[in-house]
Amino acid sequence: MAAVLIGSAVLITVVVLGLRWWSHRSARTTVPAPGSGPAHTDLPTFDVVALGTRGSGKTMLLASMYSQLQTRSGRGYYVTAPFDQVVRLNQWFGEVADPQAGWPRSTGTGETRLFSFTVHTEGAYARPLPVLTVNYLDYAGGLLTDPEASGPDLTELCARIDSAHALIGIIDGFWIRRLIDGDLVAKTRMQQIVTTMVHLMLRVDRPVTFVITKWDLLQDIAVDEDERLGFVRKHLMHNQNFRDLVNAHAAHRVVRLVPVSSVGPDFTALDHAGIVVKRPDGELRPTNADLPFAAVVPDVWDQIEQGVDQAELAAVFARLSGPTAKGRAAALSDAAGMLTQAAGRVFGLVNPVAGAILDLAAGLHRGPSVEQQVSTALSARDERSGVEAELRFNRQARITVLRELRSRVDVLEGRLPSSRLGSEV
Amino acid sequence: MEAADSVVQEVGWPFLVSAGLVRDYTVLVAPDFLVADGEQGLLGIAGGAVDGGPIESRTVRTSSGRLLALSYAARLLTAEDSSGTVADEFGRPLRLVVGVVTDRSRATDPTRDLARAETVVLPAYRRFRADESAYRVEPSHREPMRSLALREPEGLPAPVAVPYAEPVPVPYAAMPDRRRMRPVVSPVLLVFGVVVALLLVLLLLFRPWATSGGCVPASSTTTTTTTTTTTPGVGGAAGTGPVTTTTCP
Repeated sequence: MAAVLIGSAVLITVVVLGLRWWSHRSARTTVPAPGSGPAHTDLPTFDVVALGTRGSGKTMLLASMYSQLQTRSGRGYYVTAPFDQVVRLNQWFGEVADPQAGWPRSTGTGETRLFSFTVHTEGAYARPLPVLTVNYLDYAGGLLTDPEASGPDLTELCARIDSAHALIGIIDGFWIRRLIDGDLVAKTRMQQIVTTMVHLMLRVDRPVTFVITKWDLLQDIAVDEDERLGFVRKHLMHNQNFRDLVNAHAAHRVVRLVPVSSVGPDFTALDHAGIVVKRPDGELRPTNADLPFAAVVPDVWDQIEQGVDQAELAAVFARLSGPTAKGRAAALSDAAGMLTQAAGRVFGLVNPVAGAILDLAAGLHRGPSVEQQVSTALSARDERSGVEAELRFNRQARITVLRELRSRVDVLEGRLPSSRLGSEV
Repeated sequence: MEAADSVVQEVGWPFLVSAGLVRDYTVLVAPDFLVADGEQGLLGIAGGAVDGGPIESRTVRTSSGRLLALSYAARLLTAEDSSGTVADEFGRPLRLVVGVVTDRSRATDPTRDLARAETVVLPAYRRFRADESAYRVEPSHREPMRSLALREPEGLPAPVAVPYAEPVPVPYAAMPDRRRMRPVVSPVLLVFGVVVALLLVLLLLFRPWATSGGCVPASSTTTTTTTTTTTPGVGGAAGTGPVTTTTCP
């Protein structure tokens, strides 16, 4: 009888293990390996809200950003949006670009809209390959400052700000210009801009980037662009509230000051009344309009990595160059687990980057040679798992785009050292 | 006052959404009952009207559940409307969105009602422009409507205005496929496997094909088998990371 019992236990164990193996195998062969290639609906998604007062250039920045990014123009990626949004963005940009027409009217209440930009690159067989999505909200800036603002638009805006993964603080270059020129009204307006940002940004724990719009209006301050930026930065940091806001964020992460002109240096001028007008012979050449877009993803990634024990992460990454394939695979799995947990702390329960966490690590991690090790370990794992060559190619293409986004921001910091705001007193 | 079986005449309240030299678009004139409840912001959705376009209609619901119908149109500000400039401080054109709030949707053209509403709200707009920072929303009072209203049958669910539509990408964790990506043994398969194994054991135990032999099966033996199974937990598969507790649809 004992033999029968032992025999039956062994049989049951064999059947259970067999079923587990079969189930595991079918799971591997019927769907892509985790992180091997998210479907279009499964892209890492980043929600961004630009905080700017009325007339600060939020809508124009959006239109100009899309105009710059809709083609590759020497980059490894380009951006698409749903057709109705493309029509609207092109209409705005077209109105601005026409030197004979006036400025387009401002965004009103009831016109709050979410724009979804999907970054694409060239995948296997030259097919368009989506990499990630960045959502931007456009709204009437007065919602942030009007004492009587209320209603669905404000509710929506507040909810979007609360759930955003990154915030962009828009500083209107027009008022900086007026402030430098000694306009007393400009002092009040600059304080209003700063107060709005302090209120909304000081209480959040997420990446912030400051963007100076209408940079073209400030070009006569100095010939050298970094000198010009340094001058403006000094003016801004003179404001106690702004300085405190920058220092509060700079203690945990990189905070940037990005100069942007949605129209470029040769398109506008100030008339005798101090109003910005188009030059009749003006040529539209946006500068740096893509930078706020490019900075979002690396900044959010840096925040994710900050949520991980750095020594532990370094130890895991060190194991990626271990002697055995099994050890390297285990390190990859551990890294994925750690980073996914950290991403969960940034994003909450619905984690929009979980499916691509290792691709993001390979493209955005700053450690020396680690990005290459992650990339190599991923390729080796894909090969062992029998992932098709096409999917492996696509993974590398995505990683290349992520590196390019990181590089775009690094280039800015190299060209304009004043763009990096640090702890200043 | 009833006009026909399907339409009725009623009253309405003028409203105005506009901006000034410095202040952004906001509700400047609103029905007295909305102002009293601080709910004039509901009318902000009219700010999306197309300049010079046709009369647009929307419905909104107050926090108390009252359904209101809005009819409104937008046009650019002219020099006759206000003594000040017709552009904001950045040189962008200003616009007026004038409308009426009624309890029922319009059955006939409300053009004349909007024209009447404009005469009511324009003085308020001039007061706004005279001192933008001090201006507070002004209440409007009921006016007889020239257009007729639909007699809407009670009890039908009323349409609710939506500020805007947006594409919402399906998050990774909420995707149905995520369930399949975890190499977890289905409980049904497990039970099936155990049952098959038990049947095999019973077959071996009783060996019905060997009844002609001298072997006598143990008649009073009860076999109890307890099987403990585990499912992969956090980081169970390489690259999967922790399994969230999100319930997939």
